[in-house]
Amino acid sequence: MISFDLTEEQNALIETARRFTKERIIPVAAQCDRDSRFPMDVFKDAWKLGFVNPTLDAEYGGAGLSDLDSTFVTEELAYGCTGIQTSITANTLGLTPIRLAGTPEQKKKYLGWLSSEPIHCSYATTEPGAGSDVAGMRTKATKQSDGSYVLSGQKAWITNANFASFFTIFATENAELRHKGIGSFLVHRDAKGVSVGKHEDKLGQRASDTAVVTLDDVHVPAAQVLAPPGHGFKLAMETFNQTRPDIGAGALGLMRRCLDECVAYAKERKTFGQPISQHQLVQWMIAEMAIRIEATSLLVRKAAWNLDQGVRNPVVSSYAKAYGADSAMATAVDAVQVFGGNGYVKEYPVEKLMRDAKILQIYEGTSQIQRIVIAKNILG
Amino acid sequence: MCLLLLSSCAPPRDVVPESHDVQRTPSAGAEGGYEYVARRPLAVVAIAESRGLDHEVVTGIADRLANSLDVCATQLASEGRLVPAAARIAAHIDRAGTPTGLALTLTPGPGPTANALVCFVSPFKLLHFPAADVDPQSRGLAVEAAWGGSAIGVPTPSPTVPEPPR
Repeated sequence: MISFDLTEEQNALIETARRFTKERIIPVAAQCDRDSRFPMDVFKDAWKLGFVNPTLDAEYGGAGLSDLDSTFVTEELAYGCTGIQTSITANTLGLTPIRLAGTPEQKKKYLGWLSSEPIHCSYATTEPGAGSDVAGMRTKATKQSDGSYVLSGQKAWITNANFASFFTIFATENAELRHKGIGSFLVHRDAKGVSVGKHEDKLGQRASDTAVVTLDDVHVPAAQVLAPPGHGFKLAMETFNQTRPDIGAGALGLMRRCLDECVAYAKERKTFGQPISQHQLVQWMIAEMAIRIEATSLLVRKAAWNLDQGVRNPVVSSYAKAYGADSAMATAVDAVQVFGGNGYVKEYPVEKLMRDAKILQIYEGTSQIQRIVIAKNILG
Repeated sequence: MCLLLLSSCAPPRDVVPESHDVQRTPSAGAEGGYEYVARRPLAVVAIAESRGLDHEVVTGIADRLANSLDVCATQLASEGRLVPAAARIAAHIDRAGTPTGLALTLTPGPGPTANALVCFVSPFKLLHFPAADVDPQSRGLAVEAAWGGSAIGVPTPSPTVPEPPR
């Protein structure tokens, strides 16, 4: 039988994350958005509470939370600010390939590093010329006689690039081979030839660091080869399968914030002699928000539950990500509409929510790519 | 025009964070074998043992934990979710001043666990101790806490209390 009850521990986890968001994220979110700045002190405290690498195995010093529990944490942090939440939780993207494909020595070194210090790691597949077309990447990996590799190329839109202590980088030994040529490599920030560009001045999620990473003949020792060429593409796709539910969870947090702000505003704001909450077309928008939230929640929890149970069904992760991202965008647009003119100015929080929501439809596989994945799954 | 200005100039809806000012307990001190006991209406925090830390730092930590535990317990009580219980945390303090290697003992049961995680363990994990370039094994703290209506008095945690890691 299906049970939707949460355990006491899960309720405690949610409450802890909610209090942290209220006390540490919400008070700084607007200013960090204006300044396009990530609050590192908030990150360090989130790390202390186990929110930064929630699924990192206890064996390597992590909190060892399930994927389902991770979505609860992400949702609560996203309620405060998806920009700050993205840069708090993005380590999961960088560490998941190591969990999936790392040698025992690599896991001990890199996962242990993440659990012993409040550091960032970044995941890098996207390039200026290859975003949705992951297999079209051109960053070159040239094998040396001793099993090491030399990497050259450029990665774009890399979250936390300016903070990362190491990168999980995907590169190809031969671009003509497309997905069959791709491998994965662990690159330290201080490796010779690694340079990081300026923090991008983005439309939304401005508190989250995003930058270009340039690799200029970077030497990667054999011990830092995570997946040899030919095995990297599958690793990248499985990583997305495991992290897409969290994007849905981020969308959930943003939508809940939209709804709460709209409900509060609609009860106060009066037009035609009554609160706008009494107008049916405002009620319609609020009801639609609530429906989207509940539906996204069910998809996200199902996708995360699948991962925890070892059920291999990546299309459900795509459902959660696609539906959650599109719902968040629609909800945020409606939130601005509910606020009317006040929704268009920075004194009220909803314009930021609309700007923040847009990237959910783009990163970790666009909404269009998710639909291609889903259609291929259905049509064969 | 004035009415329009008034209607469009409603204050922004920012969340005002709770005060983090620490209440000190002037009359508190050593009691019943504890180095320091800080009592609040619904909470009591006691320092069972400290190593390598200044007394003022330790008493400040106890007062801070007692304040946050009391605020949290009061909120839970208002929601009917407070379960009287006790807990003990022992931890080392690393060079950066972060508690590490936490050893936790709780009154058994899901209710106490949930209360403890939110009201005691999380605030403990967020504590900042002074940084010091010493062996982390040389700095440590064992703190006991109790909360709920029956918690007033020196806490009596479960029998097998772990010593701070040596």
